[in-house]
Amino acid sequence: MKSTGNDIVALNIINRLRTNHYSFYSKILSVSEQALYSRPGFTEMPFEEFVWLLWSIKESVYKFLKRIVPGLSFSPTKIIIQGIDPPSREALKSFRGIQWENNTNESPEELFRGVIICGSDIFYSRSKIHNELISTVVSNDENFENIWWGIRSIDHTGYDNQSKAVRTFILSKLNFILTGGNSNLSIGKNPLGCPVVLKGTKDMNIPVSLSHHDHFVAYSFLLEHP
Amino acid sequence: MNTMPEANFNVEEVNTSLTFSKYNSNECREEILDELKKVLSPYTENKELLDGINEQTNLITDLKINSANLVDIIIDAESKYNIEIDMDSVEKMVNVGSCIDVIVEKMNLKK
Repeated sequence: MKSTGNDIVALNIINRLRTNHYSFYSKILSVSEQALYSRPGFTEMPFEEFVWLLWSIKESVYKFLKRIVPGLSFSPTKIIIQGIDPPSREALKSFRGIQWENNTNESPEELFRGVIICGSDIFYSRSKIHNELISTVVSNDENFENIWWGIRSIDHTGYDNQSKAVRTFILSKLNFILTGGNSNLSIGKNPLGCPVVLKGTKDMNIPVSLSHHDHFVAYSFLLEHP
Repeated sequence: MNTMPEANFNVEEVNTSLTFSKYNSNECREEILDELKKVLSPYTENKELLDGINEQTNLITDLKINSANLVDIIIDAESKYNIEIDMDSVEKMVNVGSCIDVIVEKMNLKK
C-alpha cells in the first residue's frame, strides 16, 4: 500500500472537561485502548491528552486508508491501537519556533510510537506532543523510510487560511526537494477527495496528507525517489 | 407429523419499523434538520451555508467541520434528543441526511 496519513490537534482548544467524560472518550477508545493509559510512561500525561493522542493516531490511519479504499467512512472503533510506547528520551515541552520538519533536528527517541491494526492491515505511528499540540503520522513501514513530516504554526485561523497555509508549507518543501526551488508544483484533489501533487496537470503520484487545527498545520508525504 | 413453520420475523422488528415510519415523516425530518443546524452551528464558520443545508450536505467537505469536532456533535445530539449514539452509528453520520437517519433510529429505540 502506497499512502500516508497525518493529523494534528491544537491542545488549547480541546474541551478538557468534556474529553474526560466517559460518554466522550468511550466513543473513541475501546476498553483495551483505555487500559494503555496505565502503562509506564503515561503517568504525567493528562488523560484528555492521551485520548486526543489516540484520536490523532486513528484519524491518521483513516486518512492513510481513504486514499486506497473508495468511500471509506471514519470508524474509530474499527482502528485498533494495540500498543503505544512513550518517548525514551524527553522532548521539549514547548513547540519552539514556528516550524519543525522531521529530517532536521529531532530523533525518533523523542516520539511516541504506536502499533495499530485495522482489518488485516498493520500500521505504525509516530507522534510529537508539546504543550500546544499533538501531531501524528502513520505508515505501513515500521522504519518510516521515505516519510516526510512537517508542522508549522500559523498566524490566522479560519478554514480558508489554514487550507492555504498548509498547501504553501508542503509545496515549499516539495519544490525544494524536487525542483530545487522552482515553484511549478501545486496541490489538487483526486476523485476520492485525497490531496495529490500536480506538476502542471500531471499527477506526480506522491501520496500526501494535510491537516490543520486552530493555529497549527501539518503535512506528511511519501517520496521514494527524490 | 406436520409442524407449523416458524414466522420469519419478530414483533420487536415490526414495532420498530412502524415507529420508524412515524418519526421518519418529511415533517419530522425537517424539524430534526432545523434542530441540527443549531447543533452544528458552533463547529462551522460557514453560517450562510449552514442556513441552506439539505440532507445531501456533507459535514466535512461542505460545512468544513474539523473532524476533531465530530464527537462533540454526537454528544450534543445525544443531549438534545436524549438518545445514545454508538460508534457503529457514528460512521454513518457523513452527511445531514444520514445524521437524521441515525437520530430517527435512536429515537425509536427509546419508545
